Amino acid sequence: MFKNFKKKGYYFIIDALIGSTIIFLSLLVIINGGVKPTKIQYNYEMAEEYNTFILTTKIQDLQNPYVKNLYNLGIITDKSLTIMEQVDLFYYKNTTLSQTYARKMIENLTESLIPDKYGFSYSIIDGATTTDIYNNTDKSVANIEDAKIVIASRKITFVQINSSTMFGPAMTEIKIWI
Amino acid sequence: MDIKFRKKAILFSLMSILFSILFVTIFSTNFTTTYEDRIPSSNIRVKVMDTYTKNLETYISGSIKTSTYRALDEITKYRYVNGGFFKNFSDFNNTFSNCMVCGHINCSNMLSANCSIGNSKDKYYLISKLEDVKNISLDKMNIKMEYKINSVEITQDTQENPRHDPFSIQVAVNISYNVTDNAGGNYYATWNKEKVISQAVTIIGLLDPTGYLSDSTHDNNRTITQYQGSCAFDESCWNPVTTEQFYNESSFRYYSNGISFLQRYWNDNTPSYYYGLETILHPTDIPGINLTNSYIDNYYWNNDHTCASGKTILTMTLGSDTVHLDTTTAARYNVTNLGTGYCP
Repeated sequence: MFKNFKKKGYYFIIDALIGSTIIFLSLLVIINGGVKPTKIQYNYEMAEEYNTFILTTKIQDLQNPYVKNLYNLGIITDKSLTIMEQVDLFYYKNTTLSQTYARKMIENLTESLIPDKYGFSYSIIDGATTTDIYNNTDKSVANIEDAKIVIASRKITFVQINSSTMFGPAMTEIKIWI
Repeated sequence: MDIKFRKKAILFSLMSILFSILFVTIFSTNFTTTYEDRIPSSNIRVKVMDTYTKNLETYISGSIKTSTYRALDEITKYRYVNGGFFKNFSDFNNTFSNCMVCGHINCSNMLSANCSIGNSKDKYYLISKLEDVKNISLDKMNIKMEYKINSVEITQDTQENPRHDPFSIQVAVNISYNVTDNAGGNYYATWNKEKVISQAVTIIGLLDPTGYLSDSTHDNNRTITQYQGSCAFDESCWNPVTTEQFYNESSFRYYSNGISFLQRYWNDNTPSYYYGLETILHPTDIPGINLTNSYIDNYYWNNDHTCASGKTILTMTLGSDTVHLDTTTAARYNVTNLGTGYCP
């Protein structure tokens, strides 16, 4: 009789374990299944996040050797500008050298953030003119024309040149493709 | 007996299955296939529009700065040709608001005079800037932006300018705007906001209104530059050397009994404790100079520190010029010893 009770005790323990496993698994399915982002959504978010990063991050908050060097050389003079404003300023100056600074700056700030498999470009749309500031097609990524999916994120861009002059509004476009 | 125990032993399993069914039923209603595809994309669109709205406010602030600066510059030149000094603050603020908002003297009549004497093709005014962003938003981002400028006020009031910077003015624009998705309308989200955007605008580089509007010969076109020397905010440190440096710079400095930049538009001589400015005029700035006047700018233009008004005027050499100062001013700048009596 005592032996029988012992066996029945095991039934309860095993039953409780099975029960809790069922509840745990069902909760796991509910939590993960409902909010899992699709691949396309992830790509959209990635483009949007990069663009927001460039729009809102100030030069003074960066720890980047290339940007630091430009500041030390007096090429960047106002550290309170955001990355996007500084690129606009280079674009506004419209010299070969300033275009190089803009390209290298975006390259330096994004290359470690963008996964290798993604193509990435940064352009300024000013009226009817679109100017490519940076495009990473020289790397081992697919050309944008051959891409399976291209995601673009656009932001209004502008910068105060001096008290009486303002560049913009223009459009900054970031494209990510795979 | 054994069967009875086995039935009880699956009690937990049965309960957990029932709970799981309950959970799945409750939570799966939030993630039905109808919304599954739509929610993520609308979330991204809402994020895009939210960032756009924040960015728009920064753009409006920048536009206010540029428009204000340009409007102040244009109305000084406009008033030189058309009317001289304003009657009072209200008269000035009315013209300023119109020029800053639409580039014309009267925004309700766009056939009214252009504030820009040269009819500048460069559209600096606020409406032009807002129309640009409205069009580009619709064209390139499919975002519809509507706006209404409710009021504009310019001031150097202490509450609005807590830093008491005499070299900047404050402009407050009350603006309403509405941002919606052009494709989805109000389906995704709507930003509807009325906000007062206040912006500090420098006066460095602008024409001094008193000098420009007072001088009928148009020779005085001194622009505002800020004195950077050691006596900028210390009245006790003036001596012949620092005074000469200040004179040679042709700059303006803070002086608690001076006249603020804005007051100069309607020729108000009430001392402005926080925002008063003064400069010493050069004889070359003012051909046909009245030698019996003190050369402190607002004293000179207002003709109220003269020998005729009972002041004693000293003559002295500053830089390479012969300069006339009243005795009180000469004592303030600690240069009385440099001077000899000119009149009476």
